Order: sequence, then structure tokens, then C-alpha cells
Amino acid sequence: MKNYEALMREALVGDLSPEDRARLDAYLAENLTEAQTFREMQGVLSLTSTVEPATQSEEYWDGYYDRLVDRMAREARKAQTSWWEASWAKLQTWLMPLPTWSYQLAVAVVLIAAGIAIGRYSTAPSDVESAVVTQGVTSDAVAMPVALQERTTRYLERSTVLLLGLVHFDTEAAEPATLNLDRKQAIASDLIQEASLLREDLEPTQQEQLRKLISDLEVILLQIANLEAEHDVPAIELVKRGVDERGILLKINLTKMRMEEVQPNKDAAASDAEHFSI
Amino acid sequence: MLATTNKPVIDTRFREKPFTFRAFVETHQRTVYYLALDLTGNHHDAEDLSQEVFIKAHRALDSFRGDASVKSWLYRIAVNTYLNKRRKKALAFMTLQDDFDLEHSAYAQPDAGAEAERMRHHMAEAMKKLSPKERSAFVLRYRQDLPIKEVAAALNVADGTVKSLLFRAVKKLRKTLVMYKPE
Repeated sequence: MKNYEALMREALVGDLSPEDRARLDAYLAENLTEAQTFREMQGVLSLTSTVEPATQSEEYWDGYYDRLVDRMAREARKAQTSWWEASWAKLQTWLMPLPTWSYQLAVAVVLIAAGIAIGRYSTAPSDVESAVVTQGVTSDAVAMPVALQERTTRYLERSTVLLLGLVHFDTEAAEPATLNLDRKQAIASDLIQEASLLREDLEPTQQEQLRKLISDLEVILLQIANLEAEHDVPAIELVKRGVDERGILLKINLTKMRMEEVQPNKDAAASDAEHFSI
Repeated sequence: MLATTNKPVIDTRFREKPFTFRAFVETHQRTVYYLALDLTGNHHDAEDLSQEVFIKAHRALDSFRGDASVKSWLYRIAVNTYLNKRRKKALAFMTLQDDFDLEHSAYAQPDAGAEAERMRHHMAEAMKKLSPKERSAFVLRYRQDLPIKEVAAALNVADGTVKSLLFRAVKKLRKTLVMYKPE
């Protein structure tokens, strides 16, 4: 039966050779139930060809291009939203699912932290103490050797370029070959190796957020490295969705900004520490 | 970008000389709209989908190499956009009767018009039972009369997969359209 189902499949699309057609006809002559089913299936195709689409008026077609251009203009205006507005919107979507008590807790934590900061800085410490404090604050924030920070920054920059290339690829309109998947997979594999080394080297620095970011990135990079083909649209869309839902690109930007802010203080504190032999 | 798209340019990929985006849309709007209508089953989503197709085509004009025909390229964009929307479950399904604002065919008799409308309704209801890929394959092959190879290219699948999709689609439609079975 399965063999004849294959013949029926070919017959429905008109791809049957005369010999196979004869075989199928002979089989159907002996099997009336399948013959009835096949006739009904052919009937569906005949019916399909007779159903005319509902037409639209000439006024509808005359206004089609103008409606299209209006929509394109609206979408262009929306796309001009600033990076900050987009980031704020992204932040809001992260925060939205949280229960009310978590916002209250967050406000309480902020107030307590403000109180501690006021208490700590309201007295005038000596120069030595100030250097220690500065170094302490700096060490708590990002206690990283410069070389490690540069490696981390480079890693984040390379990951950003790779992800942007994928996120901006239009799976519906662009030619699959323009994705250049082989090259992207090679870069992803390289970054995966670097990720495991970085996480190990960052462990003593207690940079838990940064290590978490690198782990999240690793998941995405593994997905990219395992894409089977350029035309595997669902898999590519899954990767893009993962980047979007995790807010990876925003997290990378915020991390880089934090690292850049801390770096000047750290350099100053390190030089002060040398000066006062702490 | 919009300001420049209506400037006539010579572009051999699109055959129309001179090429403007307006002319491009007006040439293909009916084809794209009716394909979208067959895919979505209602006017509102068909207009939305067809507009998206042209917006994506507009953005991808530079990357279109002209290897395939323009029609095939637009079909591929339409089907991929439709399948992605269905995956995201963004389409609202409304019945054909509720949403259409049509004029009757100029050639229909009053009775024939009602019959045609009933058949369209039954076909639309039957098509809802198909999966998005089955529906796409069925529409491209039996409503747009594309050869199997072009259907396969639009869906990014092998020819054999298209035939399997079509067979499954017709089997499902047969069950739903039982009132129209041949004597």
C-alpha cells in the first residue's frame, strides 16, 4: 500500500510515467476503497481550480501603493527611536514580570546604599585613607589586571560584531549565501574556546555578572556553531530570538561601559597605592 | 530612502525600464495580494502580509541578484514571512464571511455568485485544517500553478518534501470537502 501511496503522490502532481500510471490503475481496479479515496482527492484538485478568488475593487488597487508608502513612513519613524529609548524599553520588559514587592525591595536597597554612601563620604579622610578607599572601591567594582580587561573587552567586541551580523540578517528576503555562515561558525568556535579560558581567568576577580554574561554568550555561540545550513530559517530565527530575549547586546554594552568607567579610577588608585606602599 | 526609490533607474534585474518602486509594486500587487489571501484566508491579514512582502523586498532590492525571477523571489518572501508569522502565532483567524468587503464578479449570475461564495467559504474553512507548510505548498502549486521545483525553492525544501506536503494537504482537504465529492 505504501508503494502505491507513493504512486498516488506522484500522480496528483502529474509526475507519473506511463508505466507507473498503468501499475497504479491496475492496483486501483482491484482496490475499490483506495480507488474511491484517490478519485475524491482528484476531485479536491478539480474543485480548487474552479474556486475563483474574491476580487477587490479598482479603488482598492488604486490606493494600494499609497497605503503601503504610509506604512513604510510610519515604520521608518518608529525605527528612529534612540538607542537609549530602545534600551529603556528593553529594561522595562525585563522588569515587568517582577512582582510589586521586588520593586519595593529594590527601592529599599537603593535607599540603604545611599545612606551608607552618605555616611562613608560625609567625613574628610586623609590622603592615605582616601587612596586606600578609592582602591578599595575600585577593587570591589572590577578587580582586573589591565591585560585581562583588554582580553575581555576584545572578546565582547568580537561577539557583538558576530551577533549583529546574525541579528540583522533578513531570513525572509536576503539570499542565504550572503549570511556567510561558514565564516560565522568559525568565529563562533573560536569565541567558545576563548569563553572557557576567560571564565577561568576571571574567577579570582569575583566578577560574577561578567562571568554570567560570558556563559550566556557561550550558549548563543554554541547555537551558531551548530547551525546546519544557511537556509535553516527556523534555527536562525531561534538564535536571533535567543539574543533578543536574553538582552545580550544590551548587557554587553552596559558591561563595556562599566569597565571603561572603572579603568581610569583603577589606574589612579593603582598609582596611589604604589606611592603609599599599601 | 523613500525619496530616492521613485527616481527612475535602469535596473536589468527587474526588466522594467525605467524601474521605480511604484511601478514595481503596481506590477506585482495583485499577484502578491492574492497569494497572501490564499495563505491567510482573510482580507485584513492578506493586506498586512502583502505590504510586509513589499517592505522586505524594498529593503532587499540591493541584495537581489536576479538569478531567480522576480515573481519567485516575491513568492519566497511571502511564504517565509507567512511561516514566520504563524510560528509567532501573530495571525488572527477570522472567518472569510466576516471580514470580506467584495464586489461580485462581473460575470456571475446572482445564483452562481452565491454558490461561488459558498464554495470559497468551504474551501477557506477546509484550508484552516492544513499546517502552515502544507497550506503554503498547496497554495503555491494548485492556486498559483507553480511547478514543483519553484514551490520547493520558495519553501527551501526538497522536491520530494513538497510532494509529501501536497499529498497530506489534499488528503486533509478531501475529508473536509466531503460534500463536494464526485459521483
